[in-house]
Amino acid sequence: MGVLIHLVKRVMLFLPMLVGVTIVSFALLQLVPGDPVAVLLGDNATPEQIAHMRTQLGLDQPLLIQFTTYVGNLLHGDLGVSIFKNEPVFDLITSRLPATLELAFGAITVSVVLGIPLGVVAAMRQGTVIDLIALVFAQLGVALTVFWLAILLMYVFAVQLTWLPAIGRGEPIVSAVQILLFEGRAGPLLDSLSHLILPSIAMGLQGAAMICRLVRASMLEVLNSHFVRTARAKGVKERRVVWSHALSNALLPVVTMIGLQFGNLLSGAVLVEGIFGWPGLGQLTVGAISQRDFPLVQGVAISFAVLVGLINLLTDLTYAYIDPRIRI
Amino acid sequence: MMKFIRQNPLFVIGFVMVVILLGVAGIYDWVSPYGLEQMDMRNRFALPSAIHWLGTDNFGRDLATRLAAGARISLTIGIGTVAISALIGTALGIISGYYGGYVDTILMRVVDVFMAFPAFVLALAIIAVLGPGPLNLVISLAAIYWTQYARVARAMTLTEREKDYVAAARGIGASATRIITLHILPNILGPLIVLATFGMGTAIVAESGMSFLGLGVQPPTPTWGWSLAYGLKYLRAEPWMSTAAGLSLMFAVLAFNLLGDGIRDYLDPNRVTTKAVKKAVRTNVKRA
Repeated sequence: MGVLIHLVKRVMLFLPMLVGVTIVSFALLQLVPGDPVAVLLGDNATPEQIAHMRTQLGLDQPLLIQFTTYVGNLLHGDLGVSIFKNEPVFDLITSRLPATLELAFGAITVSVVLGIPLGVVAAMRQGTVIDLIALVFAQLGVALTVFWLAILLMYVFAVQLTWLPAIGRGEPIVSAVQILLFEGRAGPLLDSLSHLILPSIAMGLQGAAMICRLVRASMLEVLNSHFVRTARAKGVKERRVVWSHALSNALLPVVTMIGLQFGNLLSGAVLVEGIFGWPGLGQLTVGAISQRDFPLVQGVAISFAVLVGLINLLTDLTYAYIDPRIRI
Repeated sequence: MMKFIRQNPLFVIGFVMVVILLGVAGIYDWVSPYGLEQMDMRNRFALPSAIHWLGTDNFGRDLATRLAAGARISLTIGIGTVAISALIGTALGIISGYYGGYVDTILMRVVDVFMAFPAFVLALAIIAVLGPGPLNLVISLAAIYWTQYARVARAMTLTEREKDYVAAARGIGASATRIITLHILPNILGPLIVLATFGMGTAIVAESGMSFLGLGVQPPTPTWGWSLAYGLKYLRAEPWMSTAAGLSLMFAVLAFNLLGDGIRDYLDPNRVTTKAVKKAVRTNVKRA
């Protein structure tokens, strides 16, 4: 029951945020200095072209009508039509979304797999060389910018060592898994994973550094708490005390951190996808912004915000599920 | 002095790095024997040497000079972004925390909405509508980062406004403006300075990211982001170009992060220095 009430409360908070996000993305087009249509079409446009575009964007209507039409269309899943690609924005976004999500989950996996063990070991061996290495990794990892790291990884592992492919995306992971399961061929899955490794590391390493720092601090606190002392006093093996008793409690803030990191990952995707030629939302965003394809920019902004909102909602609910204290 | 260095190593390292960065950005055009666009075609793609400290690019232009120019742009945009976002965010945060009620609710919902967007994506969207350029870059970055200052300033004000010194100021008839600017603001500055220091690193990365995508400061201005993107074209044969730009960027971010960590540690009231512990022990022993 407690979880249900928490869920309802949290969803009720999500709705006003959605309204706000809609207003901001609507306001984006109004922010264009001067006439957005003139900005879009350039100096050589004929009056007919300008009038046609104005009608297409709905700018010939009063502001209030424009807004109600915009919200009405949004509620029907209509995000407008891309000016340069001449395709519905919704279709463009949904066709690119799986690739970006794949990359984001790859990056989260890298962050978790690297960050948590390093943080735990650093806390266990506080003040030793291992701790120092973890601290240096945490500082450098945060300072390494994603796009430079992406270039470095590409140079070392794709150009010099030629271990991994430099650009492109293999078969979508889901279909590659299906091929493995139903046709018994592992090739497509291995190919997809080999394409996924470099961009995932580029996007996930910063998160790994942050998680490492957080887990170390959190573990140091938990390892000094009474329940750990009790467990040790009862004769529980040190390995079990650390990896089972202490870690499960120290991981609580990490869950929140992963949720918060998701927004950063999407920002990182905008930079990394271009470098690795990954056909996701990030590349679509950069293209839309360079061409000043306003309906697509608005659509991408609103989808990113909804996606981050949903992930944060999910994180909050996971947190409430794993930590009963939240529900009280 | 030595004691301060021993007790605050992060602060000292960060501070020295920031001073180096500011120094290089401030005086490179007086010190460097090379012009920004001065070409030396016989020395194309040179590696670091005594003549060209950080090597040269595809036109034989001195990379050290160009990267120093990039530092000046990055720092200018970083300072501009931090100044505007800190000013707006702090002002709104304090008003929100001090007055509470509807003002607080409305302002904080606005903050929530801005924070709902991935920061870099919203900044890009704003750049898309405003167009590229240094001023628009600062506006777009300030438009996303003010929320952090607003949240911290509000939280700190909520604690401070309940304290006796604020009640006393109110008691002697001080106006709200006076209480906010002369009493509350000085007491909440510490965490805001820490945030601003980290904010410099974040703004520099965001600026480079935008320039990397060709949406920030436009070429031929040699920003770090643009130099990285430009070096990417020659990555296979001449990886040094983008490496030098990447290292500069990392140095700057590390400098501000270390300084931020150092200031935070220094201001942390829970931090107990070895000497303070020894003194406390001595006092207790004497009392006993």
